[in-house]
Amino acid sequence: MNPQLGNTIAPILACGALITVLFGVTAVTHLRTSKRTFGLVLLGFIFAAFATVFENAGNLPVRAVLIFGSAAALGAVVARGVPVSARLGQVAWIAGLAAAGVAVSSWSAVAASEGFVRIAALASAVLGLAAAALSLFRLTDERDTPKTNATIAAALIMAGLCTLVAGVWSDRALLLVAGGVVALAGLALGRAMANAAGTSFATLLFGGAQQADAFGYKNVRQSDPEGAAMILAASQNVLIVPGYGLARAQGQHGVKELVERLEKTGAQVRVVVHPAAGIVPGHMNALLDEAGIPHSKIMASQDAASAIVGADVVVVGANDVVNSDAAAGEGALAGLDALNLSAAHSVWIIKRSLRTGQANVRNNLFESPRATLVLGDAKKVLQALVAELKNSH
Amino acid sequence: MTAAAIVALYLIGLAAFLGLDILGKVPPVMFVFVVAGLGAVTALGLSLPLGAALQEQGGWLGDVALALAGVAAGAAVVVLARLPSAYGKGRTQ
Repeated sequence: MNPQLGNTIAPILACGALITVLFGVTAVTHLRTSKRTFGLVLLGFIFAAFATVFENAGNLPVRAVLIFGSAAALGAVVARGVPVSARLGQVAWIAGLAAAGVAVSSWSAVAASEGFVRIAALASAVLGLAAAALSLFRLTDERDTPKTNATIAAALIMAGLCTLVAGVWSDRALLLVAGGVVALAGLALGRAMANAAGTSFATLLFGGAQQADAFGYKNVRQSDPEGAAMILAASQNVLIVPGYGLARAQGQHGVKELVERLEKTGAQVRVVVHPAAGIVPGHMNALLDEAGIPHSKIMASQDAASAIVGADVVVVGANDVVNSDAAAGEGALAGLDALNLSAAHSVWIIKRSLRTGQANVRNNLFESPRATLVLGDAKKVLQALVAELKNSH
Repeated sequence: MTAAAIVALYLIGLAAFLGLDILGKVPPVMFVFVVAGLGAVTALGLSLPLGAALQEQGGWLGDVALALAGVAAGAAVVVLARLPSAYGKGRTQ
């Protein structure tokens, strides 16, 4: 192959690889486009492989390919157990390792260079090591607290900056751009994380221990109907737990639509009714009856223990009947026989606010690592959830 | 810097600008995939020019850098591979 041709085509392919991977990453914003992400990232890596071939004028750098290929296989084995609903700490090490790689490369240039290049290489090495340390620091966190997420976003920004500075000292435009993109994306992600936590990125990072909100809760994870749809669309087993909030919002028809829509995506869906849910015993049954939900899909709460294990649970306007202390036989509601959702895969709580239920008792379920709050009117949230699921299939 | 690289730089800048605006709206449950994807971008950026260049110089640090990028790239691809199986139409029970 003509080396000049290779030198022209290689950067174009390399840039194509970066653009493709970047578009793949941004595709996760919507449920309907997230399916493309994997294909686009894979395509990006194929472009990258061709770029490497062209850069070496048709000769594959066999040793480099062997090292990269074996390491990639190892990474694939290590990451094979990461589930769709993984914690952020379970994947942050991926970006951390990449940053560590840049740091190692930069460190090797420190001794062999002088002046500005040496300073830039040193800065890149330090930033890369800091990014790797920050991302590994949160590896063992039990849940994604807003503080954890902000730290990981900061690690991404540092990883990006270290790559960018490596691009400066090595005079490689591709590294410069990749670093810039990752740093900016880390910043955008940090801001999105802060928005989800209802605060600013800087406050999350430097604001010390998180303060309790107006209702006395800390570390409550919040999402939106789209986020809930992304997990529910992948679920095999969904339980819906209605409460007084559903009756108040007149969202029973939304429950029926949700049941039908989730069944179309291949999930088994049941509605779990607690006898104390609603204003009077039987209130929920009457409501579900009115919406035309078949009795075969309704389950009494005392029979639900085995169904809850590994299920994705949607709590719609219920509070006291899913009180986690009561479920453990503790607290003021110990005799209520509340549903124990601790064995669920995920719990989505649709509520207007974190205000207490009729019994005026705090619910620690809201702070559970498995729980995510979707604030809003039950009827409107259910409609948005169904619409998102419809769009995705 | 060649003309092709400058054009590519402009295209990447444009893609980044559009992409980052979208990224600000990513739902919290998908943060995991964005972090994995950005790890892939860093690994890609590193593995293409730098690791190979350092290898040519015969340094073992180049091997280490390339291996780290490889582990990150492999892990990122496997994590992102969860998406089509989770949300694809052919999902099985």
